[in-house]
Amino acid sequence: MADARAALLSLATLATGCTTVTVGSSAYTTGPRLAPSASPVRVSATRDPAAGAELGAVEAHGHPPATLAALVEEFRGRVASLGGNYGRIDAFATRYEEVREEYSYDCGTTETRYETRTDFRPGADGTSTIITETVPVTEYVPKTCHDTRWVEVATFTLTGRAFQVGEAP
Amino acid sequence: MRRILIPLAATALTCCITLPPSSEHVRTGAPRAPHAGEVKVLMEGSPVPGEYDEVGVVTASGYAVNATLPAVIEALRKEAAALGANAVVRVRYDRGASGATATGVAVWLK
Repeated sequence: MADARAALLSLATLATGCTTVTVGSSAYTTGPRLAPSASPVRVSATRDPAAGAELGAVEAHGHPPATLAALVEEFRGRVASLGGNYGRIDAFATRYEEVREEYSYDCGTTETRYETRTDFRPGADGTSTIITETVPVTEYVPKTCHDTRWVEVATFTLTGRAFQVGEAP
Repeated sequence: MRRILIPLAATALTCCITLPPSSEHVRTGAPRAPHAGEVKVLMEGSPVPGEYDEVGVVTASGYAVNATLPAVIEALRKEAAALGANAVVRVRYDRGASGATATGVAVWLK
């Protein structure tokens, strides 16, 4: 199923000529300031840790084709950056926005021009005749046009909190 | 050329419009075998009855004709069942002009 969405989004990306894959995050320290942690970060979407220090608020966001897995990984990274080893996802939301984007498309055309051509045509009696004629020549003239259009962009956001559980690493 | 391009464009459009909703998950709890039974859906704000084990976060998105509550919720239920959950709680539904997304927490209600 995720493949189908990725395929659709890839198609959309190709059509728009936009190749931006955006995953970002931020954090705000509300508790003790700790050094970044290299420990694994456990994530829960339903429970605060039984015991532990709350370190701050964390958010991770992304646009398709970024996946949920990529966002959760970003979230984990932010928790670790606050020195945490436990991330609690408090909320998730998808915001849809209409944005104006530039795009390019092939607007080449075929053009016909006339050329003069000279041929030698052998006659039956062994002589040759020079014939000059005007012939149409059609060729494709490439051209790239630019325009803008409205497209819908979804932004998925995870918000939560970072905790430090147990001994500080 | 136009005779070729127009049917091609129409086919491509039909293909995209009729793509089923997509879904994905991130496991946050212990692995479980897929669940073949009913999967309850509790929307955001609904109280969760009793004890439960968290299984993971699930999300589903639909576009065009599949940008509907029934289409994305059904995809969410299937994703949760495959993850071994018998319920999806805190389900949030967001709708845009052409897309819709539902996200929730897959759990095992005890």
